Order: sequence, then C-alpha cells, then structure tokens
Amino acid sequence: MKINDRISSILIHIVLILFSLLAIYPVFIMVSGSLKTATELSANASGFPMAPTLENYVRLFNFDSGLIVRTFSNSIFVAAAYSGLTVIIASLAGFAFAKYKFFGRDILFVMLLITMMIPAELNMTPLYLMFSKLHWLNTYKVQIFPGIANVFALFLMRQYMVTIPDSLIEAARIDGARDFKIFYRIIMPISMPSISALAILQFLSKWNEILYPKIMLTKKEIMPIMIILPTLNELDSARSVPWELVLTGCTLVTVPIIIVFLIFQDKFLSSVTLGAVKG
Amino acid sequence: MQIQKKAGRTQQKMVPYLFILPFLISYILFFLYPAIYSFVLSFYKYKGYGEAKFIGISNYASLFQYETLWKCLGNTFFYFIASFIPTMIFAFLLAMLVRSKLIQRFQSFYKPILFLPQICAVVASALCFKIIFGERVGVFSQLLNTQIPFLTDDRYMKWTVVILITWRAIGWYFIIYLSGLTTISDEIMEAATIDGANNVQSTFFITIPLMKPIFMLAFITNAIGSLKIFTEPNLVLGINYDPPMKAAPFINIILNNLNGSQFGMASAAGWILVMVIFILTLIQLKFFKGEE
Amino acid sequence: MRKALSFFLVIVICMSLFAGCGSSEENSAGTASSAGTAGATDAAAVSTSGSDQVWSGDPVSLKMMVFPATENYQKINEQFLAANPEIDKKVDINVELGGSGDGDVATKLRLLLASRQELPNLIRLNYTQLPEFAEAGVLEPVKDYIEPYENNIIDAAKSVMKYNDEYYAFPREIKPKVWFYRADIFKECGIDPYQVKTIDDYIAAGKKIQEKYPKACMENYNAPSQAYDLMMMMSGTENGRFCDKDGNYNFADNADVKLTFERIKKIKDSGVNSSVTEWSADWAPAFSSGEIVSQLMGGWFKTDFMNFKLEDQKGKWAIAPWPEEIRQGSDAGGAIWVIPAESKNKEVSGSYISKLCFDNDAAKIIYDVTGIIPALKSAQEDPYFNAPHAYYASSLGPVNFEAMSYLKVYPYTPASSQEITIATQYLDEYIRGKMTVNEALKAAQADMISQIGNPYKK
Repeated sequence: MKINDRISSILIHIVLILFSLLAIYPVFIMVSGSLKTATELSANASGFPMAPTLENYVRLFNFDSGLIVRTFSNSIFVAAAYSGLTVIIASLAGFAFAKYKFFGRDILFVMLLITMMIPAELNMTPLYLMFSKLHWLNTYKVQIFPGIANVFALFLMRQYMVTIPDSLIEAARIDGARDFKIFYRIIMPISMPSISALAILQFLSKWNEILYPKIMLTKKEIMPIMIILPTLNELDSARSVPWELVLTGCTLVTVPIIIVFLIFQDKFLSSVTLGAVKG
Repeated sequence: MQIQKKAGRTQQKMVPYLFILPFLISYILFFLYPAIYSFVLSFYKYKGYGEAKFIGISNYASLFQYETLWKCLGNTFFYFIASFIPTMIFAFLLAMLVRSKLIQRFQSFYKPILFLPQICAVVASALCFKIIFGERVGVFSQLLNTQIPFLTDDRYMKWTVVILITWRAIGWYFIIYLSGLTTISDEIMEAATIDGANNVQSTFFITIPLMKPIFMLAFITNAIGSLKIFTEPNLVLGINYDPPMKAAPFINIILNNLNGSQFGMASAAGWILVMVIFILTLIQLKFFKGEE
Repeated sequence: MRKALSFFLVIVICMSLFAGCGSSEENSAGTASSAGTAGATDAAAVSTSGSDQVWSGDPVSLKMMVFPATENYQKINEQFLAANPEIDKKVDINVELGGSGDGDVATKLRLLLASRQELPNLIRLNYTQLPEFAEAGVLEPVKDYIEPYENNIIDAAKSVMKYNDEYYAFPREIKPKVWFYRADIFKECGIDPYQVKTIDDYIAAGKKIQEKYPKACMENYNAPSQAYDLMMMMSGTENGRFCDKDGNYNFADNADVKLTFERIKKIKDSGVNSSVTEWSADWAPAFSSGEIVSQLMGGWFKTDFMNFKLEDQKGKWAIAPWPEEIRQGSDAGGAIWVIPAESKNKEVSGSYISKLCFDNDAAKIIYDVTGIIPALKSAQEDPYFNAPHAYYASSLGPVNFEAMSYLKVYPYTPASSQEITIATQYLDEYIRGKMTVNEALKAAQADMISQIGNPYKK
C-alpha cells in the first residue's frame, strides 16, 4: 500500500468513526441515562453513569402494574398485523396491475397515485365517526386497518412484479396452473425480497405512529407504547416528566429493535434500496 | 363444452379484479370515503355534536387570511429543505467514503452503524434530543459550559428539529447512495482513471451525474412526505404536543382546530394541505419535463 | 379459480380474526348497557327520595374517563369501594385514559358525542372546557346530587361547578394560585411572603435574596409562555377578558388584558427571572441547584414538584398565597367531573361522584393518594388535612384554604382553548421583544376574530 493510500485511508476512517459516533451517541444517552438516578441525570446527562443502577427498570416494569410490557406487546402486534395485511393486499393488487390487462387498469392506477397526495391525517375525524358506528373504537382493528390499502406499497409491488418475465407465467399456465397458483407459487417467491423489505418498512412506520392512536384510543391496555412513553408519570401529572424513567422507556423501545436489526441487517438494508422512493 | 368455455373466459376476465378487490375495498372504506367525507365537512361549521351548518367556503376564506397558517406551512417547508440538503450531502459523502476501496474490509462494520438512527423509534429519539439539547443538562451546555437555549430561542429551536430529522435520515439515504454507487461499474471508474481523471474529477464528472436521478427521486418523494411532518417538532419543542406556533408544523393547524371543536375548519385546513401538495407536484412535473 | 376463492376466504378469515380482537369489548359494552337500562329505571324512582337506595338493585358498570394517567383513580376507586361495601355491590367501575391533557379529553368527548357512542359516565375535564359543553346542552345538570352536601362546599368550589348559575360539575381539584418558595432562604434573608404585597415588592424580595445568593431567581417566565401562567395572571385582574358577553373579541384596548401582558413582561425583565424553561429537563435541576427559589403557580403544582423526586429539597419548600396585588384568580379554575346528559345510569354516577367528592372519608382517601385538599368546609378544621406535610416545610391545608378564598374564575367561553393558544402565541412575540404590547394584542384580536368568529354562535 502506498503511503498516500495509507494516509487517506486513515483520514476516511477518522471521518467515518466521527459520523458513527454521532449516529450512536443519542442511543448511548438513552442507555446510560436509563442507568442513572434523577439526581445524577440532571448533573451528568452526557457521560457514563457513575453509579449504574437498575432501579429505573424496576420502576418502569412496575409502572401502572406492568403497563409497559402490555403496551410494548400491543405495538409489536399491531405493527406486525398491519404490515402483514398491507403487504398481502398490496402484492395481490400489484400482481394484477403488473401482469394483467383489464378495463380501467391504467386510469385506476393513475388515480390511486394521485390520491397519494391526500395526507392520511385529514381522515382522522371521519374515520373516528365511522369506526364508532362499527363499534370498533378501542380495539386493535382500529389501529390496524386504516392505511392497509397503501398506494405506496402497491406501487412498489407493481414496479417489482413488472420486471418478472412473462415467460415464467406463460410456462406455468401451460403446465395448467391457475392464476392463483401462479401468484403464490411463482410470483410470491420471486418477489420475496421486495415483500420482506416492504414488510419491514410498514412495520417501522406503524411502530413510529403516534398521532392516530392518540385520537382514536382511550383504553390504555390496548394503546401502543409510543403514546405512553412521553408521559411516564408515576404521580398524576400531565407535565412533570421523570426523565430518567422516560429514557429507560426509550431504551426499551430502541434496544430490542436494534438487536433485531443487527441480526437481520441485510433484510433491513435491502428494504431501504427497494423502498428508495420512501412514502 | 362451449358454454363452459365461455364461462371460463368471463371468469378469466374477472381474475384481475378479484386480485385488486381486497385492496380496493379497504382503500375505499378506509381512505376514499373518509377523504370525501372530510371534503364535504370542510364546507360546514360542525362541532362534532349538534347540527352541522353549511357555510360555503368561509372555512377556507378565514384560513387563507390566517397568517399563522402560512407561517406553519413555511415551518414545514423549512424543516424539509433545511434537513434535506445536509442529509443529501452527508449521505453522499459517507457513501463515497464507505465505498472507497481503501477501507473495503470495514464496509460491513460502518454500514449498520450509520444506518442505526433509522431504527430508533421517532418518539424515543425526539425525547432523547430534548435531553441532548437541554439548555443546562444538555450535552453542549455541559461540554461548552454555557447555556444555549436550543429548544426555546426562536433562532435555534427549529434547527434542533432539523438536526433530529437529518440525524435520522442520513442513514437512509446513505444506503440508497451506496447501492447507487455500486451500480456504477468499476470499469467506468477505471476508464476514467486511465483517461487521467483523478479522484476528485471522477467524483464530479462521473459519479455525481450518475447519482442525479437518485437525488431527484429523493427530492420528489421526500417533499410530499415532509409536508406531513408532525412527531419531531411536536415532541422536541412541545410538552404535550403543543409546540409554539412559531415553530409548529402545518398538521398542528388541523389539530388546533380539532381541539377547538371546529371540525369543518380542521377539514378545510387538511384540504389546503392537499392543494399545496398538488401545486408542488405540478411544479415538480413541469420541472422534470423541462429536464428531459 | 377455486384456489383463488379459497385464498380470499383465508384473507376474510384473517380479517375476521382481527375483528375478533375487539369483540370482547363490544360484548362487555353490550351487557353494560342492558344492565344500565335496568338500573336506570330503578334509580330514577329513588333519585330524590334518598341517596342510599341508589345502591340497591342490579349492579351497573361505570366508565370514568381521566387524564393524564389512570393509576391514581384506580387506586382511589378501589379504596373508596372497599370502604363502602354497599356501593361496591352496585358499582363496577372502569377507569379509561382520555389522553395526556384536558384538550385530548375534550376532543374525545366531542367525537364520542358526534358518533353517538356510549358515553363515559364520568369525565374529567378542566373548567376551561365546561362552557363549551354546558352551552351546547350536552351535560347533565347535577344540582340534585349536590344539594345534600351544598352547605359544606366552600364557595370557591361552587364557582367551578357552575355555568350560568347552573350546577354542571363536581370539583376534582380546586386550583387556587399558590406561591411556592424556599422557606429556608426566605427566612435567612428576612423575607416574609405575606409582607410581599405587590409585584414590585416581589421583585425587590428577589433582589434582596440575590445579595446573598447571586444566582437565585424568583420565577421563570419565558417564551414559549405557558397558558396557565397567562390565565393565572389574567384572572387576577378586574376586567381582563378576551371575549365579551356577546361573543365579540374586542380586547385590544382592554386595560386589564394589557396589564396582564405587561405584568408578565415586567417579571420576565426584572433581573430576578431565570432563563430556564418550564417543564424542560433543565427545570428540576434548577430547583435543585437553588437557582429557582420561588415559583408563582397553581396549588396543583405540589404533586408535580414531588414528581421531580428532589430528595435534597425536602423540607425546604413552603407555600403562601400570591402577593396581594395579583393573588386573586386561578388558572383553569379547577379540575372537574362532568356527567354527559346522554350517558346511562346517571343517578348511579351522580351519587357515586358526589360521595367521592364531598364525603369526608372519601376526601381522606383522595388526599392520601393524590394530595388534593378537598373543597369542604368541614375539612378546613380537620387536623387530617392541616397536619404537617411529609415533604413540604409547611402544612398545605391552611394556605390552600386561604388561597381558595381568593379564587376567581376567568369567564371562559366555548372557544377558550383556541383563544388561549392564540393569546400565548402573541404573548411570546411581546415578551421576546418582537412586538409592542399593542401590536401583540391587535394581532391576537384579529386572529381570534378570523379563526373563531363568535364562540356563542350556534
């Protein structure tokens, strides 16, 4: 290796390490903050804990008789169900849009794309009224269903399926396979990378949602954890936040996902490139 | 036999519709119907209970002359532009560096780390940023031993949100650029080197033009998505989802009206946002036509 | 094709599976309402004859909607029912979370009303929201439940229970203006809070403390302003109000609104005002470091302050009424319970909440769990509420009762939440020095006219 190369590789490392530290630092603040007492946090929020204690975790898990565990599972369940349903109906529809010619196809597709402009936030009031008529308020359904018809997901699936050669489908048809068999025997497996990528994206978007459940839900037993996090007050107060406890909660929602991410890194990262057009 | 065949053909025709049926049903039920409902509602004065009163376009009229609405729209654009540009620059820079042959062995080490912020829940990172940028407990204040009111001074507070958005987004575009860079074949790069282009030159003359479509695509999709920004400013700058209007995003106009029991007005505000997005899209389309 | 159909069947089954998640909820609601109608007829017959008979008959379930957390009222209900077995037999009570603030609960109530859903039987609001719902006629007048206790209720509480002279609410917590101060430092510097009569005295007291403790500050009024700071200051004036009785926004020339803005700015610029932001992560440390030695607040702050868990501050803080010049008023008046007119089992919920609010023993349960001082005359003499406090240097009872006598409720309108959002927005502009007070008031007035119109107009 030339000396020049060595110097520039060191420089590159320095820059990358710097950015890596920046990327990790807030997570470090969360984790180390979760190990500090209130007094220590206010004196030393930025560094390592001087006298690490797990007391905050005990407090967190005892908070409102185990509400955190419950809401954490709610979040996981809702996000998983939502992402599963979204992907299924989007790939079914994407297949039709990609591989069939039918009356109204192109117009329908363009119209769907145009309505992508309408922000979902607009629909909160009507949806609330609608769900209340269906007696769906305070259920998981109300958290899962709105948004499962995701045009962005449809678009992605269609774009991916268009690239699947027609010859594959024709061959299967000649072998006597029906449309449905073609879909789940041929199209689904081929599209797996994009399906799993899409599922990850949808999972994360639901995982991060707060505005919608905040309006729709009143039973805390079915709320997602993200609603509970900002107001983890042990005493009855809307405003005073015990920050050490909040950081412990933040750690709880962050670290498990990071671990999953590190295990399934490739899937996560390919979800980015497939979903390059982030919705 | 003949009849059966005919039935088979109509059945065959039905197949694509059956495939899109689940999507369409949920789309109409959970999106189109409420959207139309809210459009109708935007012409009414409606408190949620009691009678809805048709008032024509007065909701729109009073919103259009509401200065704060434009300020919030401006805030939203600011959050988008101010975070987009550094995100793109840093993401591209990082992608270039990580792809560099010199450190190829470490690529799989840096990739997940740089992507990490995307994996952190928005709520968690926003709450964490409140600590980091705290006026006294915050990292900067403790390191520099001064007090900078990042979260309250109108010069800084919006930038704090921008930093949070940028911090989260860099990893995302870093990965996109990285995969874009791998599509530029080494041959092109080598050919460039043979032509006598040095590193800087090849970056400018080869890489950047090739990356342009990615940049444009990101710009388009991000612009629309960013107009709906809510969580970051509300959690970083507010206590109970109540950031100062000076720094509030557009969605807060909708929420304030919901909180003020003006459902019609809230819907109208939502549809103003749709109009803005529509105009933006038209501009983008025109711009792109011009490009081609 | 058959395959296709079967696949759709699978999807449908999946969906109904999810649908199943909520079915238990519907069932319970169903049983509640059927039991409810039975109970309602029972109770209607006895509602006036005597409160005890309300508790006979089939059990009913009540829903209680609260914010920002449910835990306290779960505890209180549990202990209350344990102490009152006859009610326990009758009532099965569930506490629901309405959101993190009063605005969230109001939004939920509106949506529930709009959707004609089964309404919660008891809803916690702040007085701020009462005019809207009372004006719209969606709240149950509750005079009958209050009558048996009326003589024992202190007058301050009555003002947050009424709208247009009609009882609509039960007091959850009266919110008088209470001044929190460092008793040790005030004593050391020879300051008696009761001798601090005006804002000037207040600032002078701060300056005096700064001679000994140069960093000490009396308040932290800053932009972004807190809505309650504005409303506490505003309700302390004679005629300060945004909206007149006919629903017109005509306050740009209102001397008292102007005075309110100027008072806040005066304290902000006084040199004894800390730059720390209220409720930020910096706030608790500022108390703990001795930077903040006093705080003009509502009585409710005692709970929040203890939530900071500042053990080293134990026994150092005491309370007093605000300085005389500004001691009248309150912020949101008080936290209240209301009964929606369309809810079921109103007799049961009315009797339940009135006993919970006005019964001496129930008041003790609430006091133990939340530290709330009851708005009862009998409690005024009760040593239970006037005993030394475990955390504060002074007993909370006497000062709270005194401060309650200065309680004055701002004339909130059906659009108060929007009014206050707009007003704080321009108060910020003013105290940041971006606008003069007149410009700020004019701009606020213009916004209220264009965005709200007339709050009383149906």
